[in-house]
This record gives sequence, C-alpha cells and structure tokens, in this order.
Amino acid sequence: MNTRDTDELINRLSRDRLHPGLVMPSGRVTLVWYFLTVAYVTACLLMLGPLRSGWTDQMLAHPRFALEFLAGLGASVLFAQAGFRLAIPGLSVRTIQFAGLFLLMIWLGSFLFGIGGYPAIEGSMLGKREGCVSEALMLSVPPLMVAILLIRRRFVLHSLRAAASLAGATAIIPAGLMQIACMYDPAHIFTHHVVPAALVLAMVVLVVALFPGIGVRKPPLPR
Amino acid sequence: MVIRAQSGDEAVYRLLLIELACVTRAFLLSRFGHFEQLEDVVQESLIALHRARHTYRPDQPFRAWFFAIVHNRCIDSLRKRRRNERTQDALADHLVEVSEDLDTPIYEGQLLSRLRPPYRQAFTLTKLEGLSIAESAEQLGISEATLRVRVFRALRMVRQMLQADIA
Repeated sequence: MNTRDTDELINRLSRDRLHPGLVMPSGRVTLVWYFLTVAYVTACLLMLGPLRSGWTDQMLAHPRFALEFLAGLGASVLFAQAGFRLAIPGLSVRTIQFAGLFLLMIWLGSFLFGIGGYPAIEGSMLGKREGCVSEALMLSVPPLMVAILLIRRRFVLHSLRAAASLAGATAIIPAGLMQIACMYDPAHIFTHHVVPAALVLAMVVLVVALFPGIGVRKPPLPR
Repeated sequence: MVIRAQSGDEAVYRLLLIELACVTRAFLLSRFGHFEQLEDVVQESLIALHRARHTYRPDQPFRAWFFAIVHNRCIDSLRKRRRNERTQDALADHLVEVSEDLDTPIYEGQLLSRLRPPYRQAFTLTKLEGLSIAESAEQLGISEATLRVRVFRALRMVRQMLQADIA
C-alpha cells in the first residue's frame, strides 16, 4: 500500500455519515452498572432465601466484619471502574487497579486470618444456604453479560485486562453479599463463595485468551 | 477540531484524518525508521481511530487517546506482519537484502537504535523484515529458542519504550 491508498482511505472514512453518539463517561457507567448489579444480586438472594438474621448487629458490633464486607464490595467497584476505563483508549487504570488489588488483599487476608484462628465474628452455621456455591456462580453471569454489552459499544484495546477486571468485579459482588446472606465461617466462605468467584474469573480469562475478538464489535467501514 | 469532526463535519473530519495520518507516519518513522509495512500501519491506525472516534471525550487528553490507539495498532501490525503476506519468492529476495543491508532500517529508527544489537537484529528480522523464526535464526546463526527469547524481550522493550514515550 502507498500514500495514495491512504488518501483514498481518508476520503472514504470522512464520508462516513454514520456518527455514533459519544459514550457515557466511564465513572457514570460504573455507578449505574454497579448499583443495578448489587440490586439484582440482592433481590435474587432474597428470593432464594432470607439473609442471615442479625447481620446488621454483627456489622455494628464488629468493625472488622464491616471492614471485610466493605473491602470486598469496594474492590468490586474499583475493578468495574478499571474494566470500563480500559474500554476507552488512553485512560489510565493503574492506580485504580492497585487500589482494587489492595482491597482484595484485605478481603482475602481477613478470611485467611479467620481460617488461622482469628475470625472477624464467631463462626456459626446460622443462615446456611444449601445452594450458596451455585448461587455465587450463577448470579454473576447476567451482570457480566451486561458489562460485556456495555463495553462492546466502546473500543477495547486490552481485551484480556478489561475482561479480567469486569469478571473480577462481577464475581466478587455475589461472593461479597454471601457474607451477610449465608453462614459465617471463614473456611466455608473461602471454599463456597471465593472459589466460585475465582472460577468465574478464570473461565472468562480463558475464553478471552482463546478468542481475543470475542465481545469486540467492529462496525463496517464505508465503501 | 475533534469535537467538530465528532459532530459530523465532513470537511473538518477529513482535515483531521490527514493531519493524524502525517503525525502517525512521523511517529512510526522516528521510532522504527522506514519499513515496508509503514503505510499499512498508518492505514490500520486511521481505521482504528475512525472506529474509536465516539470514545473520545473532550475532557480527556487527546494525545493519550490518540497514541494509545496508534501504539496498539503498531504492536498488533508488527505481530501480524510475520503471519500474513509472505511468498517464497519475496522471502528469498528478503534474505539477500537483509544480509546485505541489515542495519540500515535499524539505525534510521531512534527507538530501535536504543535496543542492544542482538535484540535489534532479532526484532528487525522477524517483525519488520517478516522472516520466520527458523529463517531468522539461521540468518543470525543462533538457535530458534534463543531467537524466540530475544524477540519476546525486544517486543517487551519496544512496548515499554513506546509507553514511556506516550507517557
């Protein structure tokens, strides 16, 4: 190809009358998506069974439990924000991702500390949900699909990083809410809530690594 | 100019694309020197810019948005380059040309000249000249495994340098 081809290409591109509307700022998209996802997961959890009784009192009486809960949800907000920002070229996500990882470490670290003998609250079978593993797995799928649809309208340069961020955000939400919906026992949380979240993340990363173009929209060019 | 182009002003958009094509060409020339597929990379960058034009918002720096796309297309094109468009005849011609004039395209590019010679040669042969791993390894007299490592490291260094330049 030569510069004459480039000139022809410029003529073709500039004649394109189909001007898509500007994308919504990533912060606003994150907020809307996040609150809708939390509302959806909470509603599903309530439909499938009651929340653990006394979780509000536990939250007020044990600041570490509240911190643990908020760290998980905070990490998911930051990962969602990073994922939506990665779908806009040139936006920096490093600080957001580091902050998200930091909160994730606090969340996971607290469980590990609990498994080691220092749980945030006394472990018990109170509020145990029979299907918590499948709930943690399945409830993250619809919000993930919505997130993929939302970034399809954008321009993803780093599809693997964007997918990993959004999958992480989506998977953490049901796992985090399970802390108030299911029984509290750090080992149970790890095996029944965190591992399914990690599975969702791993599956999404695997699919995007094998099919990098998946979820990426390429509008036709003008003739 | 970008905002007017986004609102559908054809003439302004055309001017913008012409200007961006020049900037992209200059950017690639300054980093890689002249290479066969330069115009292809310029065109791929323009197509990407066109497809991404609705993602630019006036409250974000244009330079970062623009170079993120160009940088991405550039790396992608260099990766695809070796896989696509090659014929056996052209390959034979290349082998002769490369052996005679290996360093010319290297030193024309400021970015490549910052790579150490083993990495520069590996990068130039495989990514810019389009030789296969086996052919490039034979050309340089090293094993394929060693060449793969050098290409991987060179690509990583080029990416880091491009990111540093953009930043």
